[in-house]
Amino acid sequence: MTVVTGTGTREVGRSRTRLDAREKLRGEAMFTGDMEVPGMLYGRVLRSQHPHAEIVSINTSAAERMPGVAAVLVGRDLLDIDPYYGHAIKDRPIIAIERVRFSGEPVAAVAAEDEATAEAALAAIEVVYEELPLVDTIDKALDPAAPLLHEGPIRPGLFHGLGNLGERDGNIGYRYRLDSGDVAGESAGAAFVTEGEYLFPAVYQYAMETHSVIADWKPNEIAIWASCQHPFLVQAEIADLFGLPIGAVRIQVPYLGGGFGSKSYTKMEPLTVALSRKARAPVKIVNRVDESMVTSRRHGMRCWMRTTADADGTLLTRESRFWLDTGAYMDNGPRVTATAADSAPGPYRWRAVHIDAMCVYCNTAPSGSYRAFGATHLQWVAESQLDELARKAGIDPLEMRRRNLLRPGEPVRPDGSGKPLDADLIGDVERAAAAVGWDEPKGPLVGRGVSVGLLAAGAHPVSRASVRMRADGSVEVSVGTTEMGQGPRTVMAQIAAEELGCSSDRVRVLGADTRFTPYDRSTGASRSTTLAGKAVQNAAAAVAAKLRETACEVWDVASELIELRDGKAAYGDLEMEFSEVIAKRFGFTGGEIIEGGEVRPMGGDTGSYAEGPVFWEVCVAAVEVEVDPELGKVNVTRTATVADVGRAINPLLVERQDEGAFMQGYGNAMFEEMVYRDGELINDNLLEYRVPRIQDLPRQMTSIVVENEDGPGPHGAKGCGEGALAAVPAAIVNALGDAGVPITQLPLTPERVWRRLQDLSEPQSTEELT
Amino acid sequence: MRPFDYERAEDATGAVAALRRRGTGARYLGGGTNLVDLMKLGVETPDALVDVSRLPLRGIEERPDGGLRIGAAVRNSELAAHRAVRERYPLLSLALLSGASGQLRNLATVGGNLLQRTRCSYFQDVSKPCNKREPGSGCPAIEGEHRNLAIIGHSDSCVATHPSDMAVALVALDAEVEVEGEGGTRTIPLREFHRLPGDEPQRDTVLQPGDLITAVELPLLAFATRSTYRKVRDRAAFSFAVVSVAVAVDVADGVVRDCRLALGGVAHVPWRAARAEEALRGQPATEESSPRLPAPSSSRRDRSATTHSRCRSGGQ
Repeated sequence: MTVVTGTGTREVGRSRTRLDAREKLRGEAMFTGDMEVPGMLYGRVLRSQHPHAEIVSINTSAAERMPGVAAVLVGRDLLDIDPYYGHAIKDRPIIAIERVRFSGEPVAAVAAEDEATAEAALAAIEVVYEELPLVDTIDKALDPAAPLLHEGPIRPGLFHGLGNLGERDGNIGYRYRLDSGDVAGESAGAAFVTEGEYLFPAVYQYAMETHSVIADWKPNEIAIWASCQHPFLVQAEIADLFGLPIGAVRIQVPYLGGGFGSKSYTKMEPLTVALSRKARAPVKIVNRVDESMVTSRRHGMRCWMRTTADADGTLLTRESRFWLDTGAYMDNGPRVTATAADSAPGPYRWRAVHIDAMCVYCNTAPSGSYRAFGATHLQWVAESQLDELARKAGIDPLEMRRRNLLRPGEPVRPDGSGKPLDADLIGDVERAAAAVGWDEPKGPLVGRGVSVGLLAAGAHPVSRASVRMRADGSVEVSVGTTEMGQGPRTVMAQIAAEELGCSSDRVRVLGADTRFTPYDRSTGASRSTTLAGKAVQNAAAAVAAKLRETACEVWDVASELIELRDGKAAYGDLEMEFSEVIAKRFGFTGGEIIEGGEVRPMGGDTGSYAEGPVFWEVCVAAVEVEVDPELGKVNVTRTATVADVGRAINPLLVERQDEGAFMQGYGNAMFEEMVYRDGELINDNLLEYRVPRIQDLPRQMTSIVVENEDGPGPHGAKGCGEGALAAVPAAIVNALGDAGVPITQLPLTPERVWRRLQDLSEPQSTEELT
Repeated sequence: MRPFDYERAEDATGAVAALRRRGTGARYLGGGTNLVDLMKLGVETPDALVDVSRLPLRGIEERPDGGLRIGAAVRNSELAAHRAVRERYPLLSLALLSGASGQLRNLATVGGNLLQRTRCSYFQDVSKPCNKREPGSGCPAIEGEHRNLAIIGHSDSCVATHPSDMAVALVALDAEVEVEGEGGTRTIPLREFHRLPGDEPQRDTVLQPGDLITAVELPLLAFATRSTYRKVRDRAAFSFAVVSVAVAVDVADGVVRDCRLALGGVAHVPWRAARAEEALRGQPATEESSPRLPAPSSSRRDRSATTHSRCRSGGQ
């Protein structure tokens, strides 16, 4: 459903079929795992089975003697470099050095002629461990007597972007506070108070393609092919680790089979480069699923929150303390923690807010980014409490939100800093509620819920792109955005074609190759259409200006009278094909027009992105559920999610993104949980780690695309594709609460819901509540 | 995965001979949807595979009594789609379609389906003790993760469940398994085919080494046209049963004249609920008259969850 449709454009706003669809459906698209380079060896990784242990000794001699084995890498091979990395905090060795901190940590790696030989060599490596006390949960990590997983001063990474990282406090590796107003004073006279503890499990991003890297180390140059979302950040980290100038590290990114944050920042690249360095040959490492599940995941969380309101439902104060389990290494933990804290107040007016967010080291696999990180953790807690207050006050939850939601232009952050609200949240939530029949009568054990939140989107507004028109009038867009299924190659082509006045059929969008592709910070934080898209638009506009310049020389008219349309320059009845314009420009049947475009926080040719975030991504959903009391199964019957995108460059892709985010939010809420026992992940396969399948989908799903042309990207666009993920768990939890089954722990498995139902019907029961 | 020899058998007799020749380290390979997974995990480490997936056992034939004879190499998806199965034994078709995924059903064979190993995570993890995999090593599931394991018929050495959906429907239908072995061909009622774990959990079935399943015989059961298969699981597809029920009822004048009831996901065998059937016969066909399952004496799963469970007949 599209609420507002933009007009006045030819390519933008058109549901163009994905330009990569044919290639992918025919199996012709290349992924890193499909690629081979001459002389390439195959790498396999020996991973620790202990979650916390000293490495007493590693004997690799038998493995090294095996025919076909080229090299065995262990920690002591890295004595000549500083082997610690981490874009936020440099706390992670390329391969375990003297100690392992999670089950699954790489301890040794083998490069061999084929995978079977490499695998066999792993079995021949003898590692002697001495187990250390296990710190596998947040509670254990916070115990003052707990062993410290990391000691010594914090070493900031290249891209922490968080100001002062502060000091470590025991196993708390990063802490972020939001403080505004006097919570105790403002809540003293509150009419309604709600307070509770909430648990969110660790979950896995589940990209179909596992982490895959080919690395070719040479003394003066490193070439990498990788399934990475942020090639330029990886390039800089690899250059830093191996002591090369940035330009001497070349990263090429083919298609990715999904990312969802699991391939953001640096993952398997340093280990693969180090193994290639030892083997003196190119090496390919392709993770198995169980290996990727311990390469990146979403943080588990324990959260306490208290919210107060006055007698007419006006919100007064919110306090929250929460702890995120970042695992053995920080990865993107600090940013996740800060974003979660930013999401804790929600988009409401408060008298006072106190948020204390802590990122905690544990002997579990490292946690990083996962689509809508932070907001997904906190929005369901924050919105649960809003509904609970509404129930106590006898106010309809939708009305409760109308009374308290911020209006466009109001400050979002409680301290008034940063970008004010740039969206119509009340309109968004009303549309979503209407789509699930908010005011219709409902039977027993049927409930409806809404949720509203904001996600700080865009990351750092640094993007460049180039657009090149060849002598035949065909166009190449060179932009660092990674195509991982979300459709940027199609959208970037549409943006460029719009400026150039040609069909997007004529435009090719190339994958990133850091040797040639202009810099783009990253593919994540819903930033690509808005920021990289703006850079493409600027570059294309510069190419268009050159076309006009030549055309007006030829026809001797003012350039503003020249129109670019249908692949031609036109002035009245006069027309020239682009190829003809280029031929006139150079006086030759060759040549090209190549121009760059830039986006940066201040100045430049784009106006100001100085005031963060780049935009507030809207996270709004409404859900209807019915509960089967016999099985405890929650049937999600109707859902609506809102993609408030400013302007849909490609409405079909917006809807697909919104639906995909819904599906993952639905999985996080209803199905998914990484089950740890004594520090070991026990459901490390796709049968027992359950993502929802198509048969699990709700009977009716509505994706509402809102186009208010209020975004900072091309044609008023802003990003999408994460909001629904943050909003859906909250809406489902609230619908369940409305049905009479409030729950404070995810996922909402039938067993958990059934137990809760038993507990509600037998209040004297001593069983665990959730 | 360890290297292994591979040979393809031409017929059932040849396959049995090949396996005997190869010795105890050899295994039959059907669709491979379970065996190959277990080989990747190191749970199965055969020296040789005798491929029986292309034996001429792909037919589904009419029996004189109106029943069916199903070749052991018939694929799960073929069987589920077969007109006679859909018309005469809907519970079997539904059970098959509730299992695995489309791709797996296209490969998995009828014979192999009956011989699936348990999905107990300790059995599948060679770094853990498991009495089924290494007799005498212990059973960590008894105290560990056993949410989907046995409620009934388990022993102190094993709480594994049989994972098949198809077998639950077949056991309700009194199917028989035709086996070719050293002493020629014999027939085993499916109810006696799988074993309870007792103190030999390493033995899933009564088969002898070298035995090859060649067919499943399905007798006519007229009232099986009124039957269904209901599966409770953690997601709607590609998920093993928490509990499943295969049921067929013969109702006349509002009274249950006869019925068949079998349970999946609850025991080391597809469990024929004979006492429940007996309790139902002659009763009015109403929800109130449905039998409550007898409470097991020492359930491994949560007591309150199991005693509350009830069998419901009816639609999907």
